[in-house]
Amino acid sequence: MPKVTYLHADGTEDVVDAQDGVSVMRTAVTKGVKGIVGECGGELMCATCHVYVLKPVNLASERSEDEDEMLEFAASPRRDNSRLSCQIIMDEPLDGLVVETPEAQN
Amino acid sequence: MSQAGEVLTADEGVPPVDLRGDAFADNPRKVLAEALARGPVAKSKRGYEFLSYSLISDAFLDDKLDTAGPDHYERLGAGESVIWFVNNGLLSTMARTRHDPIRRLMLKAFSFRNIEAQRAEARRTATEMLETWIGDGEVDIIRQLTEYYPIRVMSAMIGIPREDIPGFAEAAHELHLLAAVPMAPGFPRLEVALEELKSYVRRLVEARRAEPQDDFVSALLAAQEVENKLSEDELIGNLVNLIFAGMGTTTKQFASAIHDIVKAGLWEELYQHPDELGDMINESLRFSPVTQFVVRIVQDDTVLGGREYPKGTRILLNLLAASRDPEKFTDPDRFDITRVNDESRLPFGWGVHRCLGQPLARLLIEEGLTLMSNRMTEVTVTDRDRGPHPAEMLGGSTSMTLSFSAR
Ligand code: HEM
Ligand code: FES
Repeated sequence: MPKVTYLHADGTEDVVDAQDGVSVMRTAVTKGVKGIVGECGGELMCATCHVYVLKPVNLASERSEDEDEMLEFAASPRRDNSRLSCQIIMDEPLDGLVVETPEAQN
Repeated sequence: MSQAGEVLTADEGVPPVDLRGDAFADNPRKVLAEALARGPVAKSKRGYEFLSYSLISDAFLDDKLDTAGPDHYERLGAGESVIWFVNNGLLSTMARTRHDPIRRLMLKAFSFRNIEAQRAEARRTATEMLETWIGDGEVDIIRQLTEYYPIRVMSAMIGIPREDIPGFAEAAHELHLLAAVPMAPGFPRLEVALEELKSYVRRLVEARRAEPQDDFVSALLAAQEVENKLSEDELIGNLVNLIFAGMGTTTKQFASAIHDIVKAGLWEELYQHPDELGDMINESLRFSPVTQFVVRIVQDDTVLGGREYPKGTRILLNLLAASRDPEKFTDPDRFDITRVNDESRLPFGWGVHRCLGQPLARLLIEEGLTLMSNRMTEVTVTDRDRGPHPAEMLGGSTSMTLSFSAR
């Protein structure tokens, strides 16, 4: 199972086994990881699943147009490495993914 | 409880719950608590009532469920304007293929930054209203504040001149009939009100098209021209929707928050510890949720909570019941602002139809309550009506008298 690391603003972290084919948002929500809300259920309609991708760095550029637009509504500042985590689907090549959760989601 | 893996039919062993009788009218919370104690689902004349917090949370995210669409209104015998509105304006009822892009566009207005920018306007508006009665020692806080304050701020945000509001406020108010149960008797009045609102908004759009300004109408027009995202009907329909969507809800939720805080003996606490405001509002949203249920129609056979619901089934997500679910909230009938990680996520809905106006609604209530607690002391609720029948979609008083001293 690919692993995801969630780093939080308060300095704590969660390392979680993700299922193949399940998004980074859904993984966080089902495992009770704080800092990710996912109000719309992954439909690109809320931006409450905002994360900053620390590793791998190239993942930040794989945004669709809709995701790019939705990121404008995130409650915390958008950065170059901002992604909506409902759009990052876990699989083996993403093993070791590290994301940082923002200060606020809503 | 069913055995693991065993799927029951929707009906099997589901107890009835009577929402029309005197018992419910007298004490809705008691009837719902008893029903929830029997199981997470009950059957009423309205359909299957989902009562538990966890089942409702799952239902909000089930993509086989959606809101009642235009066909539902057609079957009820709605007139031309109502059908026009549910197709073009009412975000919660329009087809997903139109809902999704339009909701993304509307989010531009409702981004946190844009909403934050309304704070000064909210404060100014509320202060102006409060100044007219602060010397009286007594006020019907709904008639004199919570009813028209949201529409004034919303209008400023959209770009509607203050002096136009009295011309359509009554018509906008009439749209609450869309949430009435049963809805059909209200159709003739809804036709009249919608025609009035449509023609007002059409004139506004024409004026902004001729002479754009720095407001939301002009921004939508620009988006329409550049991106071709909205038809003319959708543009007008969605503006009508924005005018009305936050009125009844925010009016009542604000009034309920005042009531709950006073009754819990927390008024002075709020004055001395303004940092507790957010917790008080959250707890009031849970304790007295204005939206008492939302409707879902099964779009394709689905299994929820171990039962199979066939396509076309009508399900009611009973937020009033879920907000007092003892499995989720300890001592649910107590107004307790110290709940930790225990706030309800349901009062504004969840999933793709989650309330677009949530940040604005919160801001309005925050600013209103802050102002009131700074200016009023010795506040008591001396009178309030019971509001509409508890089986209606929106709950809460329509009139509430406070007595107070100015500070
Ligand atoms: C305290 C006040 C409010 C409460 C409790 C509330 C509650 C809700 C709820 C529960 C829903 C979901 C309906 C469903 O799932 O079927 C909803 C949707 C909606 N609300 Fe609010 N609301 C409030 C204020 C506002 C305000 C101020 C606005 C802004 C104009 C607004 C605009 C909307 C819109 C446009 C939708 C439909 C969203 C969609 O379908 O995508 N609401 N609201
Ligand atoms: S969960 Fe809503 S945009 Fe990702």
